[in-house]
Amino acid sequence: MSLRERLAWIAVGSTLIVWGYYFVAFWIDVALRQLDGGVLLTRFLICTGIAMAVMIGLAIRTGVMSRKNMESDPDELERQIEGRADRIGFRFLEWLVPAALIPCLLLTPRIAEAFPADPAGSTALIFANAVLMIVVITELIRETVHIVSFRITA
Amino acid sequence: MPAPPPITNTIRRLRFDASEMTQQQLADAIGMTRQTVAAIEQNKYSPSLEAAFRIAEVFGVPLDEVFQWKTGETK
Repeated sequence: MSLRERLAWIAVGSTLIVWGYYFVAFWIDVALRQLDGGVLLTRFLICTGIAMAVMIGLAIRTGVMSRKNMESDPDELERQIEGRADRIGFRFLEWLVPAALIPCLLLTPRIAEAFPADPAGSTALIFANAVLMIVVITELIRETVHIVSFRITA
Repeated sequence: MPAPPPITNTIRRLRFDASEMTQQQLADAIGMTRQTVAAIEQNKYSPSLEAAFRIAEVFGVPLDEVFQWKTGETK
């Protein structure tokens, strides 16, 4: 398994665990009408910190263990796979943004109604997290395309 | 992943003839990863013209001794 494939597995694994937890917790809070900006910000910062620490730590360990220079340029097959992953990820992003934000816009009055204590803040939090979720899903798709492409050529 | 073009290669035999050169040694010689060399060898990936020439240069043979077009199998 090449270094870049290992890094893709690390990215998918850590993203699924850390951001999976974050979004499940967030949508549970939404369902229970318990959105708290302070708690959410703390959870977001902790998840970001954990995700970065896990990804950087494992990537360095993988690089050291495989004795490969982490900054070595990708070869032509890796560049081709990278390009394909970017294209597919971008295509999904193009579809996911309107698919998530249009319903959010249409549901704005309902969201405000559901959170009478802080309608504007809650709506903003849901919008921001919807955008964040789109970014995370796009990244997951990109890394999954990497893994599938590497497996096909392995 | 698009299907590879109908190209075969003799890299495995050429490696064997070159003092049983490993895929890693070939990869290092042409600036690629071992996984890419393995993919080329198994016809799962068609290299660029530049990489093809580099491979031929490593073995000191002409390009058509390394890569062959399977006649009659056009895509």
